[in-house]
Amino acid sequence: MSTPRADLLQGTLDLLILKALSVGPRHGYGMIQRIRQLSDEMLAVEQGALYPALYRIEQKGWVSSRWRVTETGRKAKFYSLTRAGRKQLRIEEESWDRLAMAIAKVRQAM
Amino acid sequence: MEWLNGVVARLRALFRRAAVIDDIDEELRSHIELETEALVERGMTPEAARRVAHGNFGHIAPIRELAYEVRGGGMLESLWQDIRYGGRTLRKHPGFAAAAVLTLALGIGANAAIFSIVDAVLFQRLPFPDADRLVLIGEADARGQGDAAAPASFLDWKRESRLLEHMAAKLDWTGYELTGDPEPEQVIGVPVSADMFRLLRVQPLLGRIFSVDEDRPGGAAVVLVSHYLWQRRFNSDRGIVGRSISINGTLRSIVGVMPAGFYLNRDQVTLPDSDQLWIPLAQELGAQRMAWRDVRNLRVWARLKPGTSREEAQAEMEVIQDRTRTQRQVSSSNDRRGVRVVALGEWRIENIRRQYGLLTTLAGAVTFVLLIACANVANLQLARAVARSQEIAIRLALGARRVRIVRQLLTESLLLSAMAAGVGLLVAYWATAALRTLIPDTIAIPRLDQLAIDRRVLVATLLIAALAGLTFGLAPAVESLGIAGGDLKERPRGSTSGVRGRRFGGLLVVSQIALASVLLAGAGLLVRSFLQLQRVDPGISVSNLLTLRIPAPDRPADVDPAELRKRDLFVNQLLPRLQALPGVKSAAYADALPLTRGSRSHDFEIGAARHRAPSKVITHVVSVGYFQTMAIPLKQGRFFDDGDARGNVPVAVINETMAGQFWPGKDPIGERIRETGQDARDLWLTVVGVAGDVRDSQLGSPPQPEVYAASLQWGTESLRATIVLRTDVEPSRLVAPVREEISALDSKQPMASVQTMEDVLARSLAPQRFNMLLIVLLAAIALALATAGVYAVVAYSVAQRTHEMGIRIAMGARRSDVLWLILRHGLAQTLTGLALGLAGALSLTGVLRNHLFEVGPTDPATFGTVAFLLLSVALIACLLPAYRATKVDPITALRHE
Repeated sequence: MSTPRADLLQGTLDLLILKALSVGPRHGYGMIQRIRQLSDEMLAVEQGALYPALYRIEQKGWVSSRWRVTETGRKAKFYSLTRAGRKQLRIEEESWDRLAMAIAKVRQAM
Repeated sequence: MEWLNGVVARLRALFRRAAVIDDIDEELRSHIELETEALVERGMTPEAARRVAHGNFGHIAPIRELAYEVRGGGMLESLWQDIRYGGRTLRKHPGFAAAAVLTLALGIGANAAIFSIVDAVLFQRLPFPDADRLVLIGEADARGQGDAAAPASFLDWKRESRLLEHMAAKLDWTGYELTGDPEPEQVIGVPVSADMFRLLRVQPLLGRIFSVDEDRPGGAAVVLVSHYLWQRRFNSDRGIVGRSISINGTLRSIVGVMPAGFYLNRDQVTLPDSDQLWIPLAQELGAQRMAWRDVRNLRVWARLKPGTSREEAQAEMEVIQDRTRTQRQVSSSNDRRGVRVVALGEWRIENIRRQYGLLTTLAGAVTFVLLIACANVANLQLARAVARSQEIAIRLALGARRVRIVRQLLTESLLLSAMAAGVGLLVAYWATAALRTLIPDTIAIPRLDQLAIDRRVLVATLLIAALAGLTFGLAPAVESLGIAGGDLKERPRGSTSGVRGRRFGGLLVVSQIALASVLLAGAGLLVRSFLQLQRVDPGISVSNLLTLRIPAPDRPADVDPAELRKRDLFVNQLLPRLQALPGVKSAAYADALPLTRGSRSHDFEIGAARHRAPSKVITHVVSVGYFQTMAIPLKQGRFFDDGDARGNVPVAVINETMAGQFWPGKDPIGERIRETGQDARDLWLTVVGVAGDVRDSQLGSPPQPEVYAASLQWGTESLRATIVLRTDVEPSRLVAPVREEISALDSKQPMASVQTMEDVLARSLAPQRFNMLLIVLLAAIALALATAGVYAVVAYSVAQRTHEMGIRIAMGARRSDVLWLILRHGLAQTLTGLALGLAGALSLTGVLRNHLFEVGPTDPATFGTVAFLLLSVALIACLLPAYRATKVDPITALRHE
């Protein structure tokens, strides 16, 4: 993959990250795996895109992070949704749905 | 609040940079480990898994950088980095840094200093509340000119106007003699009508302003004093109100002290004469002169009522002027005067333009210097940028983004200009202090005593510096990217890499030379003009001539005739006593000195041409020995002698110009002239002699018709007596004896303006000298900077082409060929710049026209000299590095690099 187009995908990426965290805390690698899983291997988020986006979201207060030990005994930084994050997830989902619907309508009109 | 969290996080990161980077690194490493673990779980060997995980992850550095941009100090941090990096680079090249900072500081400093003066003169608003509602009303002549009014007109207007309020009038200024404790002295005062202070909305510091009752002929004798006079003469005594002081022999009661900084003078432009007092106008003029219609001696100011425009006021005043004209019988041509209402602020700016026109020109000249300085620094920057292209190419190859590099270069430029601004302010501070002492008091720059770098100058300087930083930083920044743009390994080394840089540098040199030659041309013209001026024969001999005034109160018409006779007597008694002093060859007096603009003009009827309108003639009242004392040559007839006394035939001596103008080709001796107009003496004067022309108002103005009247017959004007003494000794040694003689005759008589005639002459030239000095100074700075620019560009190109020169010499080029090769380059640029500059100067020096004396604004000699000067200096600047190029040792040069 080429260099991440963070600017273009930022909104979408935010949605994906928030969604990946919606069922519980995860580390960065876990998030990438989760997104790939959920999208049937169709969406692969690059590390170079993920971490800057994560940090940005964290600064916005949508997620919080903590260093913890994984089941296998490794140290990893786990992210979890904050209350604001859940709210943001709803907003992002709604606006995504609206956009998808709008595009669908446009396509049907053709 | 979100953004605040962000800022806090960034600031924290700024100070905990290492911790943040560690955290990011750890997280990224843990990511790879987690992936390795997952791959091992899927059956890969740990080795392979690690390799694949690393491969998937890619380079950690760019990701870290991207992540850090979010979590780190961000812009703040990279700015700080840039500044530190810039500081380091500058420290590593102290020569470059010093040259750039000093060059720019010179430009900025000169700018700030001149700006301080321009600001003080041009941009100060009238110091009164709501000053934009103030208007000046003047009686206009046929051409619509005129800013003064006759007392009777003022009274008419004030009575009739409905659209203007608090209309007030004042005389320009008058000298007042203060007697009593501590010692007699003369101060400047302004007679004002009672409403003036209400009009200007100025409250007294102590006491009260004049009442309307006091502004009446014969009203209670009162006076208001200035803050300065109060401080100086009355020791800031808060109990001063109610005390009486003797002014022009009249006891006046002080009713108030005006606040500091309040002043009234001719045009609210020139320096407030530091001592001031105010006296009710009608008391000053008296009933008779308040009824004058023909003498326009008042400035009338008023305030537009709310909702009234200047145009409406103008229309109203025209109606009033017409109506009052029909009410009175038309007695003279003067009564056909129109009326003009102008905004006081605009009128003041007109005055400023007239008096300080050259100042704006100077401000322009200073901008040129700053531009040259910027070009120089840009040149230096460019040379460095080319030298740094290697570094920049490497940084680009390592993945630095172009924006980042340009920003870094710009930061460096701004850092330079910030430093330059600092040093420049120091330069400006000193320059302003120097200018303050250098500016002659005759230029009368307002508030010069307070001239300092103020906040606005500071802001202007910082703006200039930032602008300069951007201007001279941007071009080289872009240029260096262009140079370094190629692939690192394909980048040509050495010889040709600087071609574009050289071209840009050449452009800079051309513009520098062009700007410098415009300045030099301007300076050259003013210098030539000044030299011409100094060559003018003043018509008198100025050496060993002591002059002093013995000021007397007020106009003779207001003084008791007995008092006048007493003063006449005083002067006539004083002269023989002074004459008798050892060291004095002769003593005389006149009402005013030449070259001081102190002379008065009167309308004269010329006997042989009585049908003609009266002519304005400058009138001097002089004592018998005046011509001999001043060494004015006799051209025809005789000078005054003791026989020309009261009771004998009244006589006059005229100057050559007058003889030539009124009696061309005829003998004026025996012709008769008479002063006309209100207040004139009914005295026919018979011309008995013709004296040589004397430059009266200033050296540069051609002689005007002048009449000398004999003081013994004309008499009363001796109240304005100026004493002149021709000495055998150093004139200043006579000051003390003269003072003693005056005190011996009248202990209350002050002495003023003691100066030698040489001083008077120098003072009369002071404004021109000052203008010349300033612009010569600026031109010299410009020349030095431009020369440094030429030198730098040529030297740089020599350094760049060492390799090429080595090859040329090895291939058999003669040293002279090499020398010519380099010279040709520098000279071509110089010539181009010179041609452009002189062409520009031809169209620009027109602004100097009014400041030039007997030199045209396109004087070929001056332009030739400027071209020669610039060319020779540039030639030297090119020769030095060119000579170095011929010394290139081919072996060394080829091994070089």
